Amino acid sequence: MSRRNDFKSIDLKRYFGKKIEIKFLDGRQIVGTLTGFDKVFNIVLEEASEYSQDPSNFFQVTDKLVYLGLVVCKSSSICVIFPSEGTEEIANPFEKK
Amino acid sequence: MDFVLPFEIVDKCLGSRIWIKAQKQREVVGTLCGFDADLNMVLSDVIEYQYKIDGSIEKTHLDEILLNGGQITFLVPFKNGPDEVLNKQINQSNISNDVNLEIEKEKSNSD
Repeated sequence: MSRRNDFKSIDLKRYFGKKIEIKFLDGRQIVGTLTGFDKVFNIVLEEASEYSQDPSNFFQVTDKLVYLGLVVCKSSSICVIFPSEGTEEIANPFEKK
Repeated sequence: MDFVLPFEIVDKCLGSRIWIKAQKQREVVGTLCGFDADLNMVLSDVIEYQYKIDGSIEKTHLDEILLNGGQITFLVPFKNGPDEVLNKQINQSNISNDVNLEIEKEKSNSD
């Protein structure tokens, strides 16, 4: 039982003080320095910026960054968490041509 | 850099302005009066921004609201909404333009 309680799907401590990006369920995407989180993964980012959304399709983000500062992210709306450095986007390999 | 808990920051924000980005391109700016563990919030002196698909923004003024925490994506504490951020960026660009102009003037003077 204790083992189950100790289990964590991700070890966010590894990224403490590093730049991470978060994608949300509604298509928003932000990047910032990880400065805090709790057991349900509500996340605090410092010096965060949001990728502005394409006004014609809100699920598409543009490269333009809007500076926000300190941000608190709600766990229930977070979709993906990944470090800024060492990850890159690839083309969809399952897309039919 | 100290480790901070998310709710600690929301608690510190009580009584100040908070900018909430919610689902469906909705943004709410208001003075935080109270909140609970699900981030349901009581806000006063509220402006609601609804971004439309044609690029227009619908603004609604409300005196006091209870915001459902389920709608919230993320919070920007101590910020007074999109107008503040946009104005700041415009000011910054003005400043950088001024600096560039000054540099150009100095150059032309030295020439």
